[in-house]
Amino acid sequence: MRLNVNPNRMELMKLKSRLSMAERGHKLLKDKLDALMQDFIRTVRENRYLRQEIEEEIVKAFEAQSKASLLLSEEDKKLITVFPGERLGLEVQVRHVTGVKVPHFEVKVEGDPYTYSLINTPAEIDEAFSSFFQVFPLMVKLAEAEKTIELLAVEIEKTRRRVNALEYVLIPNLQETIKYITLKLDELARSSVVSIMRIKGKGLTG
Amino acid sequence: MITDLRKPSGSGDTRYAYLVGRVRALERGLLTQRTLENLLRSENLEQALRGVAEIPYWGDVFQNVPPRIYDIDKALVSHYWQTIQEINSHSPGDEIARFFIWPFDFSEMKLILKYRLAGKTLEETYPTTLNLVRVNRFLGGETREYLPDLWIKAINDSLEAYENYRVIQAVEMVLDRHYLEQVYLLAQEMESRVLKNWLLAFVLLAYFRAVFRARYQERKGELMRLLYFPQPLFPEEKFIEMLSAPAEKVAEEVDNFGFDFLLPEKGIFRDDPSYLAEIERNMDNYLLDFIRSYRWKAFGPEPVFGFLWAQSIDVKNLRLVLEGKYFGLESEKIKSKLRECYYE
Repeated sequence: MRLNVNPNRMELMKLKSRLSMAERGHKLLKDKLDALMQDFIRTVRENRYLRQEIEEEIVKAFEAQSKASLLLSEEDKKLITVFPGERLGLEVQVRHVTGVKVPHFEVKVEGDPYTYSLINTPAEIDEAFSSFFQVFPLMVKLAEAEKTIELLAVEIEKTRRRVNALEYVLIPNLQETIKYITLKLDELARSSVVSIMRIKGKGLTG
Repeated sequence: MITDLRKPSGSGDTRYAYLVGRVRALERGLLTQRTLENLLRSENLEQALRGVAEIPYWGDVFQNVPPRIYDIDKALVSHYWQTIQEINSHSPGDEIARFFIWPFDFSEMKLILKYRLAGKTLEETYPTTLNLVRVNRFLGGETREYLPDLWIKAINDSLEAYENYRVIQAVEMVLDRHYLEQVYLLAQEMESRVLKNWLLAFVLLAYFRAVFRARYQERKGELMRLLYFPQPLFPEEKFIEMLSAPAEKVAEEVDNFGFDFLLPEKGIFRDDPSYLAEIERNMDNYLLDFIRSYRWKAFGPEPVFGFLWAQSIDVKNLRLVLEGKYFGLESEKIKSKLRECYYE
């Protein structure tokens, strides 16, 4: 669709400059889109492996927990859980992946997970605790990967829309308008040449 | 461990006649291997509960109990507690019942201290003989409040250990030490040689259990000393040495103590929770087997003590089966955790 502008040289120059910028922007955005796609695919792949690993570990952890639970009374369970000895800190940082701000979680573990009696609790509880403490940082990593995927997907969608807008709307419109203005200016030039020639012809005959 | 298993003469043990008679009646409610296998065959928790309802005494316990872990556990514990109280109410059963009451009292004390240190309020209490009002007043600063010396010392030692180490496990260790010390003192007082040996074996096995678990949890000797009280059964240097000794050395030490049968694989020790769980099961089976040999004594405290211990094992086994069914665990997995029954 042609833009609604006055067909003059000034506009032509402006439009040509806009076209060149749009073409450069298009190229850059296309490169960004490729890079985003690469990062997205890499993160999705990492996420898949991480998820598989977590699923295996978490099944083990829950199995150990239910086995330990079989040997514990409700009072014992309270005794074990009332005073958690381990403090988990989560440090949230921002990372830039192809210009996209994604979160980066750092798990900091302080203290000791084993807060219970050594003689009144079953050994299975140690397995449950150690399994959960192994799987927890992985779960945080998974959360980070999932959020990164979500943010990259949004950015890819946004970039693709921009690329398409430039490729299928703005650049063709600018090109069409430039062509129109060029034609119009050529026509004006031709008509002024004809007018001059006519004036010149009249003067000679008169 | 070499124990002297000669049976006492028995003539002086007639004061247990009533209790032995009572126990003979109550023994009908103890589980057998066959009962457990029937329960294991149940498809789900509801079916297992119906199976339990057919066992004498347990049927009444599980009447109208909703099929929820919390309610099942409450029913199991309160039945066990009532049985202990019944034995405790008849002299001289109180001498025996003390050993079975202590775990409840020490657990309650641990809960009170842990809740206090965590800055939380303990809303629910469990069976105990502790005077909770007095304990709370004492902890609240009213140090002139009457409490038995055992508890005053246990509380002061626990809080001091927590102040020094800033690790909550220190509280557990100190209270466990006091508990084991009480068991050891009870063993010294016991007239019955069988029970004396049994209690000493209990203390020794508790220390073994603690050492094995501490190795897995990578506990330092300094913290573990809080659990230790001086006694000749398990010398302190051996106790500390075993914490960091190589696995082969631990297996050797277990063998030296005469407990080689505890290890699931002969001469091999592994710092692995599944392996340790097997060892713990063998410990429970050993203690049950020890007291089971004296089941048919006509007079004496052994059948009474054996019955209460068997009851505690039954509670453990029933919890395993019922909660295992609740979690939908395979029967084989549950079976691998079950302890032996008093009746073979």
